[in-house]
Amino acid sequence: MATTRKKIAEQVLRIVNGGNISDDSHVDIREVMALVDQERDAIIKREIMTNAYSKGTAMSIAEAEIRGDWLTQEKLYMPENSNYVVLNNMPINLPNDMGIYRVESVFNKYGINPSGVRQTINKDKVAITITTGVAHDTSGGTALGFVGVATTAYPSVLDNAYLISFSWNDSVKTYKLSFNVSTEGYINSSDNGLNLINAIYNSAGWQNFLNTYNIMSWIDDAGDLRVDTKNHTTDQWSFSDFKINGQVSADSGHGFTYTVTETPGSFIKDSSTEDSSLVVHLGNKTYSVDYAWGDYNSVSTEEIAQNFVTKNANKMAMEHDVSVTSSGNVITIEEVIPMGGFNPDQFQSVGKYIRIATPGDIVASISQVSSWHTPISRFNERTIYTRMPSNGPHNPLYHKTALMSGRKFFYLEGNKIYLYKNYEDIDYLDVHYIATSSSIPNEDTYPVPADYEKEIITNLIQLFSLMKQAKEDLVNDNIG
Amino acid sequence: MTAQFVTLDEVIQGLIVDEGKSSEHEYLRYFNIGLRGLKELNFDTVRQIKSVELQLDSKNTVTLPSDYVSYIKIGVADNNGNVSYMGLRENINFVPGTQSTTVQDNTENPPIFSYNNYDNSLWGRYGQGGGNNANGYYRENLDNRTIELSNSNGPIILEYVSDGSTGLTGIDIKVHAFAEEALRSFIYWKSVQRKRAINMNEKMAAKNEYYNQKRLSRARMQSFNKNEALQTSRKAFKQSPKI
Repeated sequence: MATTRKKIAEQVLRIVNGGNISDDSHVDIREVMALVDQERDAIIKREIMTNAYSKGTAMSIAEAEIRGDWLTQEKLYMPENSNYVVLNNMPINLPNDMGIYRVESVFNKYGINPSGVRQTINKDKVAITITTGVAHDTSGGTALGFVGVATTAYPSVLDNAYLISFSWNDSVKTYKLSFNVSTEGYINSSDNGLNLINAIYNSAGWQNFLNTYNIMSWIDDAGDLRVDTKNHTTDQWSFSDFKINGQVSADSGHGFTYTVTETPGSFIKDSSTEDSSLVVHLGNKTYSVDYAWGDYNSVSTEEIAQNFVTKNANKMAMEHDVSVTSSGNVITIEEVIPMGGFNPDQFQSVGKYIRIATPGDIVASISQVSSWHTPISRFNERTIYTRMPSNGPHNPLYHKTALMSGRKFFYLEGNKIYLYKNYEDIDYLDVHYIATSSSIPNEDTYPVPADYEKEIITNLIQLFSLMKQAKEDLVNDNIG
Repeated sequence: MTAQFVTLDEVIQGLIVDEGKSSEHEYLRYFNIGLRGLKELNFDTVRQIKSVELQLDSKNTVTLPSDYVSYIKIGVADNNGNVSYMGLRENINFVPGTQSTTVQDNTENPPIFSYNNYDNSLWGRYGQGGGNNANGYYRENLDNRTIELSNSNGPIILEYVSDGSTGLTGIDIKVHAFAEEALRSFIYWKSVQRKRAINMNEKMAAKNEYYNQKRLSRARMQSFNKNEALQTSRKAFKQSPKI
């Protein structure tokens, strides 16, 4: 269970008082809680300093990594006509102002229209509504059902390896395949025909054939090797010219006699010869979800929407800073921050080009939820400020370097964060920093690792032991 | 950004990751050191050479580009797409508008040469000697950041070593991929060089690493392929006297 400041303080107080806490205890819990805060701050600082700077000690890893669980985030509004924000707490004092971890402004509040009225900048949002999914078309005809390879005679001793070869025709092209089959580990049955079938089935070459040409294969009750196309979706396929060591059946070279039998069956083929896809053009990239012929029976509009989000949302977020979500049959694409909006016309310069294409069965439409584009926010960007040493509004030491770096900088003075040479009208800053422990409310979870909890208690007890040893001055010196 | 170049920003971020830091608190300091490292590498390892055409001003001088460090070649463009060299003349006067106080004794054009012209002076004068340049002469004026010219009329072509950073900002400041690791090593070395808390071994290792990486990048930059070797070899074979 997570601890709180009060819980740690009570524990210290109980130990210091030797059990129950009496009302006339010399030590007040508020005093202990203040000390708990100070102790936690000291531990954090020591931890970072030890890790980062004390090279040569056994515990040092010499890495200045600020752990995420020490960070506090604040959204701080900038006062009018100023270039600073005031932190609600003092950050912990660390070298290079590392107490301030990250300063970010999301977007500025420029946007005064010609009438002098500030325009509302909305995040642009578009919806893609899928109205028709992928159909399961049962029309079809007759074709080859499956092919079997049955061995009827076999040698009493198997060779270590056989070269298996055959031809596969997918109704358009003939592929000649051959691969080696090792019989090592497949001499379990006295039926060496079955042993060979097992060895073929488990060989890398056969498995590669199945994966590459979308084939399913099994060994039936008679011990025959069967092959078929998945979902019977390819018509006019054929499996022929099966040879062992380059020789046909009943050749004395390999000693096997086998037959290749064909069983007629029906095939199901989508009436559309194309795959079905939903393609979204966004900016200079396309994102799609595709249903290849033979991979499906039918796909509902909701499933397509969910599939698209599952496949593409993260990639789109990384590449375009947009959130992609689905609800039912609707995919929503929304800017995370106003960046200029979307525009279905790539020949217009405003907004990010967005358009959909739906080859195959799928029918979908794209519509605007907010305005197509918001030109006033076109050049918005998420700005991360880099720390620079504090040297006032003009830093003669680093000014030229700051200029050449092309970045924007902040510097820290007290609990104020100044943006260096900033004259933009920024609304607010997001600041992540290591705040002093006193900023954590009494009843909130106190973020301290379990092993440090004990250290805080031990240190405080030592402190109070010293206090108890000191002789209290009980004489009233004010009596005249 | 092409694979041939890496930005200084990327080099610094790589170093910060190398050091196991999770924030960019020392970025600006590293950037400052990186700019110096970039110059170091550009001077002799990467040799970022630029070529510009410069127009003469009314004082017969050209102003040097802001990123200019040293010239490689000064000349004029000819009709074949080549640059014809100009000559260095150390006695060009830097002070503009000065009045001549020399005695006009016509030493430049004594009568003896007047009778030895061939084809209206097109082929030079007999007995005058070599080392002259028909394209004009130059002298670099470091104080004014100009090149002073004489006997030159048109624009000149200047090939020079650039410092690789002046006038550029942000992602435009870049280093050749062969020198990326050398630059990163330079930044690390210089960042610890004057820190008293860092032990000498660490500093020496950082220094050695920089010079090793510099050697490596220098070797990579000076790659020489088979065709170039053959071309060089074949150029040396000729049946006429070698000039």
